[in-house]
Amino acid sequence: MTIRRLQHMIDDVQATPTQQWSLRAGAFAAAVVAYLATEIAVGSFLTVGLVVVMLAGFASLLRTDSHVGLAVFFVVCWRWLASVDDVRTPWSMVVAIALLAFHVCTALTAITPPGGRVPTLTARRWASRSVLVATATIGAWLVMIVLHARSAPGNALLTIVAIALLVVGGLVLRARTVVR
Amino acid sequence: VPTPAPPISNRGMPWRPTTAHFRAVMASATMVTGAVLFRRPDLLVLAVPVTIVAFWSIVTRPVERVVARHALTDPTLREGEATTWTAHVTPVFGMEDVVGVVAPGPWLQAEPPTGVVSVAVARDHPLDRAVTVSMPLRSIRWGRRAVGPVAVAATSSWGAFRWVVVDPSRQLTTLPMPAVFDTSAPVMHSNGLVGLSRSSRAGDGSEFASIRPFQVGDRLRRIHWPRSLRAGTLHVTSTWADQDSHVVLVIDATSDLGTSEGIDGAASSLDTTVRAAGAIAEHHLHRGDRVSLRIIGSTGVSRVVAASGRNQLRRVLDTLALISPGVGPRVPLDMPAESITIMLSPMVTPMALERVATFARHGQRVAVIDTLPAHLIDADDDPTTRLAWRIRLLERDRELRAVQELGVPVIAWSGPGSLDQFLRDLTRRAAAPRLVQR
Repeated sequence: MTIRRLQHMIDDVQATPTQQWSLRAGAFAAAVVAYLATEIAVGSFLTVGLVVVMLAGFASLLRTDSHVGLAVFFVVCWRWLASVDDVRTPWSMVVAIALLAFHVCTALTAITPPGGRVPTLTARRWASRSVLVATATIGAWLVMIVLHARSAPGNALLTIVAIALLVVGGLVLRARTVVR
Repeated sequence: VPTPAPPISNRGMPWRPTTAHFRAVMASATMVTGAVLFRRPDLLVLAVPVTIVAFWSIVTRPVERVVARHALTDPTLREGEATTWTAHVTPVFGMEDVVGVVAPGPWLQAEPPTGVVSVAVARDHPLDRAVTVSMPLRSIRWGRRAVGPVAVAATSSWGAFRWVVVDPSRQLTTLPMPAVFDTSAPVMHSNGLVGLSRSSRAGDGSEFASIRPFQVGDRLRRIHWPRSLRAGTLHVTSTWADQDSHVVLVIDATSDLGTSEGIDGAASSLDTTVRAAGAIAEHHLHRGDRVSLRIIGSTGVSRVVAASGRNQLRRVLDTLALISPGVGPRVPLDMPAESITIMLSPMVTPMALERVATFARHGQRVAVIDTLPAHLIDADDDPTTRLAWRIRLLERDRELRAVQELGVPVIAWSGPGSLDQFLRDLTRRAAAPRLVQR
């Protein structure tokens, strides 16, 4: 990092208003909560993972409009996939909502440059939408519990259809997102 | 009616996905794929929020091009006054927030100081009415400078897509705020015939002189009927001719000494020079005198020809605002014989001293207003520099004494009354014979 970039970063930090710091602190706290909830679901504690999440959370706190926040998602998902055995655990809801909070806080701070304030109407709008998405997440967990209780056997055809849907969904996402 | 600002273009760049959208898409794709491949429905639960966010963002993605316009409500100000930077953005479907960013630059105070303003687009905002972001800007020092670069951005729902346009800048001219100035001393007689000062000869004017018998050529409206009836012959009212003076302001812009903190703080030598020149010009132009301007050392416009009236004040202030200290073209200082020359200078360069000495030797009525700031020595932390300045100022004192011995008064600028003694002396000296070197 050059002196100029460091100075630029210090200037940004100084220009950031309290509201933006609150959102960034919220994003950092959400990342830590997501990882700690995962650890509670696992039943053991991996310090390295927490350190990586905290570092990634801190980095995304300083540079909200960067890809470093993805590290939080990958670490939490890797830890969940590798260590959680109980599929029906309610901690999955906590982790999902914490990851949502992390994403929303980071995205909200990135809509304005460091010195800007998020308009009240925008903050209220995002809050109500987040509540809606969190409710949908709880609904998805309940559906998953119901389906899991039926303990249906594995079906190769359904798996192929699901993968095909994923591919199609990915292509649709790409077509509507990437600008040519 | 102000001309509407031209639309600013981002070279056809459409709405771009942001890193937030990339994060949501990547995270949801990875987690959903993992859930399917590893048969982990709990991972699907983890993916639900970001997947909803990603799809919501895509469904509500704006596709229409945005047109933005931005301008300053008043591109010309006085020091200490404020203008408003305003950007108008045409709303499109899916646009939720508009952000305006202005780099105010030196001598401009923005509100908020960070130069970033944002507004949320209401859900019921009509599509035919532009979304407006505005920011007050206060100029605290004279001069012409750029406001900008300026960036206008719009974002979609969940901050997923962004439209950005960057425009270089807008020019803002800040006219100097003339200092307070007045003089009670009479202005010496000159050859002009327009102005508030009374001439020594009778003529067409407004000030009563006498009632005298009618002569051929007198205007009928001047006939004084009561006196004519009593005397039995026609009598007319005569008046003193009104006269003006020609004041030449010579500005030394070769250097700007001292710290300038704008209109609210300490003034540099050029600040004092420009504000004092504006004040003297305003005073004399209001009296109906003619004022001309010569600028030594500025890289911009170097002279304003003599004229009177309100427009001349604007011309003088405009030219003063364009002063940029440096080495400019050599200005011919051909002064009219009957003019009053006032040179405003910190008097630290040999060139300024030479010019003053030349004026004095040619019999010009000249005074020097010393604009060297008092805080100059104390402002520097370096003891060597302070010592150097002390030595230079001792030399300068000697040079100023030499100038005074040539008959040129050196006056410290103190606002009202600064020129009173000088103008009284001029009036007294006007009657005495003068020795002029030709």
